[in-house]
Amino acid sequence: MTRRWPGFLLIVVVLLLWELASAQQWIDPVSMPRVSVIATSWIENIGGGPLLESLGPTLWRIFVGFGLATLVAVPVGLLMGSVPFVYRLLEPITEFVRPIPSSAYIPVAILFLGIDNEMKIFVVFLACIFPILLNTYSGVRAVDPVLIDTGRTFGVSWARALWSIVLPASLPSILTGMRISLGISLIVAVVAEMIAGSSGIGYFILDMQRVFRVPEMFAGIFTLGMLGFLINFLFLKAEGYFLRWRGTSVEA
Amino acid sequence: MAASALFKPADANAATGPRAVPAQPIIAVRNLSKTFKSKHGTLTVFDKLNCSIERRSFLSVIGPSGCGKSTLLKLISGLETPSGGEVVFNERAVKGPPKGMIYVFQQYTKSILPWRTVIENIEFGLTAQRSLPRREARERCREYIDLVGLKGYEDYYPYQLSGGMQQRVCIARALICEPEVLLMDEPFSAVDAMTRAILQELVMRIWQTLPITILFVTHDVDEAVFLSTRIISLNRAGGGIAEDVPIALPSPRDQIATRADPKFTELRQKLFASIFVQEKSAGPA
Repeated sequence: MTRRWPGFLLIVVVLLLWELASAQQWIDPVSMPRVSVIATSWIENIGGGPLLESLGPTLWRIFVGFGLATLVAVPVGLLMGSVPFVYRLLEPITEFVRPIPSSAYIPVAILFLGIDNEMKIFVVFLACIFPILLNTYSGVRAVDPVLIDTGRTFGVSWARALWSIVLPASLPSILTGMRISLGISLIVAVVAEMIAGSSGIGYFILDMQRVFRVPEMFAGIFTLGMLGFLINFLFLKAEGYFLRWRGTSVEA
Repeated sequence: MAASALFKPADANAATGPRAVPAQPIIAVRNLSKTFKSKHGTLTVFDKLNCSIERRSFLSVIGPSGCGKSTLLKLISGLETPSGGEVVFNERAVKGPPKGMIYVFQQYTKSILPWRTVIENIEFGLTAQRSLPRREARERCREYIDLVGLKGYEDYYPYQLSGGMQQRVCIARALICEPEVLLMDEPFSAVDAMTRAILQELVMRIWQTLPITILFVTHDVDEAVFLSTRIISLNRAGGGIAEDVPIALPSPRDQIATRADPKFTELRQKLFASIFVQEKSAGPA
């Protein structure tokens, strides 16, 4: 943390410049209100206000979608990486579906699942699957053959080797995929909330913009920034714990 | 073998001492062939190779680089499949890694499980083949940790250990399975000279203490002569066995005294010359 102070200082400088530019009307203070105004509005809205209420649904959608994606993608990725047939079976469809931006599924998902939580969780789930899947099976394929042979010479079963050798050996790669997905999940959840429904932080931002409460809108955006930072920070902490055996702790 | 047998100097001279009954060889290699196919053609490493390995012997395999020393060990261990012929272990043909044989890899950094501590790595060996109550398992692990001289390092992760210590972990992990045969593929080629001498003594002591047969691949002739009761020297790929030499140096062996023995020097010179001539005729290294 101590060596990152120049970066945090830059954030402070940018915010101060913003405050100054808005106060001096170098930029339009209606569409870019002063930072202090935004901050006041943030405090009002987060303390029991509608902003706090919109945080819950968004977090729920992210964690359920992301959690389900992890539960599906890690086992499938392990199989794709270790059973050539499964790889040949699933690789083409993966490569075809993967490039489609997940926001493109939202209209389809609305048709089948409506505009509530189910649709949003589904879209988050779909978006989260591919980074985890790809990183899992490439991690499995990169496991050193000596490690596999070590399992064989000790006579461990296929299933046990998968669990106690392949999985831990590809864990660094799996966690990287999960971290990428976690970032994507926030984006997708917010987009889905903006397109349909009436809850969540994405809806809050769009709603505030429609009724022209610009400071509240910015408060929502800043909340997203902080949320993303916090989630990533916590994830890196968890990653550092699970990979403590690597000897290089990931600095958050 | 009971756990307490570890510390008794059990039949240390069994390999050299007189036998009442001529024992069956523990491993028999019969008409073993191995060819590798690649874009550049086929390479025959072994063509109808035959040899048998006595129970409780310490056999080293030496030879010029690329002669297939490691391939032979992999074939015996069941990690590689022969193109022809068979390996017989305890009178049963080897099809896949059999119980009772453990392979110790040259690349210990890749063979050790880096996410497990020292004691957990050794526990992996123990629980790979059977399940024990946790407390009993831990106790047995500690015995083997003592045996390889890693007391006090139980809870270290591999990245915190030196190369020599990591290889000790791999050796303990293999021994805790109580294998009849330990296959060691250039196990000390990646450690410094002093560590190597110490680990050689460790392996020597283990072989004298436990009722095991050791097959040892090395490119170091001195190491082979120092450790072995018998040395097989291979010709270049496809050439079969060049020399099969019993090493009748007195036991227990000692890094200083044994190496000063004129018989040691004589054997070493003879084997070294046989490999060196082949290495040289193969062209620039």
